[in-house]
Amino acid sequence: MAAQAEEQSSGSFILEHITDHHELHLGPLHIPLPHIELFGIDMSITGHLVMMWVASLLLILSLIISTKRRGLIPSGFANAIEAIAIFIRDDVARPNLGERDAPKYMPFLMTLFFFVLFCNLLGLIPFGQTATGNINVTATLAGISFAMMLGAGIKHNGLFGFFKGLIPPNLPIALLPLMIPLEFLGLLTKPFALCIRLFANMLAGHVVILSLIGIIFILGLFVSPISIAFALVMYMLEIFIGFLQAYVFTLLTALFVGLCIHQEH
Amino acid sequence: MKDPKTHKPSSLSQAYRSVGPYLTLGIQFIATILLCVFAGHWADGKFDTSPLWTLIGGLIGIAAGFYHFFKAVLKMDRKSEEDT
Repeated sequence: MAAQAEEQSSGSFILEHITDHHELHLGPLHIPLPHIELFGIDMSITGHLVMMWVASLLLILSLIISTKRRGLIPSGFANAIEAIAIFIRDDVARPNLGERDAPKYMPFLMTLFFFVLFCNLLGLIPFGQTATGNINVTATLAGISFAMMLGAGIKHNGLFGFFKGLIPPNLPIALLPLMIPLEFLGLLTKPFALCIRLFANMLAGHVVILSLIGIIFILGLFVSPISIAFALVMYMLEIFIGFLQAYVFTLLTALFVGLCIHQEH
Repeated sequence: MKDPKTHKPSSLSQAYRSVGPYLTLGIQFIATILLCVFAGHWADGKFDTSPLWTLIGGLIGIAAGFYHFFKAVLKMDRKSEEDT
């Protein structure tokens, strides 16, 4: 009985950490956040929303600092930021979008990369929460990517040309009623998969770390060296995954936008 | 700084770019089915026709999932033939 109750309490402690709340948890301090309802839609300020604001603020501050002292040879922090920027330009934007179109989409891709990266990493610092471990956040990000795909495709190929390009050429007319919904579904599932991938990756890592810590409360104090060692290893892996998922999200967005611009089968 | 004109993408990113479309295959296959089943489930709730639309949605999802899966795999096949 007691073990079951303990199990339940450790389960709820995991849920407590990964779900969104109407208050900001700073250790023992719980700061209540306002409930706002606009036109019947819940627009409350929640913990994850605050974390996204913190991420945006850090993004603005760190990028301003890194570009302030402009020398020919950047040093320290600015050098790291420049290395990432060049990496995204040369390895993500140019191969997928082409030399000509890449500069137009660079600001979008860079913003996407750094925002997702900062959100991922904010979940790893004390008192932080992972905003990208909330499916609403990743769905919105994927929605922006989807709007970008449609916008870029329609801009480059025309409204009619874009939707015509989705359907493979030289298709018998009898197959058209079947193929049009199928191809359109394929267009929809791309951003859906983007959303699920980022959400699941960020959520799973946190659940694993918290479960490893939770084992101590279930089995007793003697397992703590092992579980803390494992949790630390997972923590290191999480840092890597934070970077990797930000990169994968940006890469796949660039790839999909590229596929919408250059429609060939 | 490297000259951007002569810059070759690093091998890791090159590998990621070539496997990128296939990395998404598994998730996309499931995502297609889930999306259609959810749409069907929503329609069932709306029109009170359970389980008709959920089943139809599932069937459409499976068809669409397999179609995109095979399309990607056949494309991969063609690509590897061109490379060799």
